[in-house]
Amino acid sequence: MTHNRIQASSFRDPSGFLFYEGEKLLRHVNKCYQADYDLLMGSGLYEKLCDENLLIRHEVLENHKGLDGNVYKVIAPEMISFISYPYEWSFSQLQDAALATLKIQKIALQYGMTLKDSSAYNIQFHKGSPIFIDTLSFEKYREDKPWEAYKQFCQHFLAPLALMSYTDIRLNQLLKLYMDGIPLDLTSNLLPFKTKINFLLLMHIHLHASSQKKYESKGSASKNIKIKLSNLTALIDSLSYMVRKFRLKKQDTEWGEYYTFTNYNDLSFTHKKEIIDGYLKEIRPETVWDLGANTGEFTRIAALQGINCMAFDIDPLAVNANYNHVKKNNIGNILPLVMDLTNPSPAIGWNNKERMSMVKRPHPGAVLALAIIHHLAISNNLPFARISKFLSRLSEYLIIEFVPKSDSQVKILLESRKDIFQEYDESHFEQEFSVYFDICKKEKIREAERVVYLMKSKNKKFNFAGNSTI
Amino acid sequence: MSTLLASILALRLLSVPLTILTYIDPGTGSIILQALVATVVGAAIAVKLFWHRLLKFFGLRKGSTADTVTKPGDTPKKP
Repeated sequence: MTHNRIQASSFRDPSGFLFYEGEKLLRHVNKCYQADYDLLMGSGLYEKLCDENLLIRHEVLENHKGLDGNVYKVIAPEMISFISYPYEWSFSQLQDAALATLKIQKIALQYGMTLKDSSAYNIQFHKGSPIFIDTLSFEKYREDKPWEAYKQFCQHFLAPLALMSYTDIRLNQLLKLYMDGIPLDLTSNLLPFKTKINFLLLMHIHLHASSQKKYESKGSASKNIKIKLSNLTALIDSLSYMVRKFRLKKQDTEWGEYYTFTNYNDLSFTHKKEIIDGYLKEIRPETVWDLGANTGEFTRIAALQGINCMAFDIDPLAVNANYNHVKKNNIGNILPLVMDLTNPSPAIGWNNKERMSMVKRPHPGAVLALAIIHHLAISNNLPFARISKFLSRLSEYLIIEFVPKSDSQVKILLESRKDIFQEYDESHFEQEFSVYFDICKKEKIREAERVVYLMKSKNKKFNFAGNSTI
Repeated sequence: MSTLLASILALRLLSVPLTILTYIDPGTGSIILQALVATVVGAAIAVKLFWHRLLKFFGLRKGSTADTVTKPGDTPKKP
């Protein structure tokens, strides 16, 4: 018998829910959504949005009886290779996700429908582009009705974008604290005064926050409000204009120009790429997680082999640069994401299950851990044994670079602190990693002191490749 | 300006009620603010378009330029 499991985050909308049937993710369309579903499919809106790569395609499972008597249809959406969340996106990713949402809303209005919600979690990155995944978010547009998802759009998209643009790029992390977007009163308090003399920011954020406060206990005050379609469309246009105008401050981070100032010479750089290319060709993983990917220079070696890659980095500017590169060059198999490996995304939301932790998401076939060992072991005081144990549970294969104390990058880390890392050397590294891994290969990078290893996890779960979780 | 906007909203409040039922809370203050912003940006676009047409009428602007002025507030037509 196939085991069915309702997805933990799928409980808000009565129109339906997501459930797993075995490994397949299906969407239960409830009877109450029948009219809207038929309108979505019959009006041409579904085809239009799918043709524009804005909405995920689905297949109707005609013979599926559903999980209860409330079923209208069961549909099988095209699978997304890796689920990511807005607090893991860089600035440009969030900006593109916002623009996609607004474009969808504008097209929906042309077809007599509207988005009933505009959660950032309805967007995923699929083959390099943002795509809307909630097929049940569309409802019939009723004449002169306001956009009910306006507040949600402002909290999920405008607030973090404004904060990243005007205050600090790291402030989208507030989305981890606030499941339904960053509260507008908090956003208004955190934004600099100059945003109050920007008409659209004044209206959509500052006055919006004041209006929310003023009417917070006057639920009936908005019941009679009507908005002409032409004005509603102008509102959507004003939001699109505003989102497009957001820019990042010119700022550097610790990592911003890493490859410009690295101590590699061209020969070492090329040789390191050759080693990684060779290792990957040998193990042929379907997916790779590049931990500490920076701007994705080495991730692209895997991507060129047709491997599906997730490129994680702690630096939001490096991730942004990676995303813009991937977008510009139409590289569909790299997903850059902001992630602090010493504090990876936790499981959050109701029952701590609505949004998955990083380690609970489907694991890759191989992990690239290049030039991060010194950051974990020295900057974060992590013993080799713990790093090794963690990585051995993450993937079957590990390609890891050891950076010795004599390396200038490590010297910089030790300049301002006491060197308590007596066992930070190649021999201890190999000894501790051998507990959890078989060291298959090692190669010293030419004209550098660094060594790149190919290791195979000893963890038994990798008898069944991929998809296991820690 | 604020008096004018308040009047526009007051007129809207007198119109026929629209039942708003949704599974997410659209927020009373958000709906009111949305109506205000939509009215303002809708009016701004209407004025902009009128101005372009006026200039075109007096021959101060080439027809092609006026024609290319998009009117984002226009009611979209189903393709």
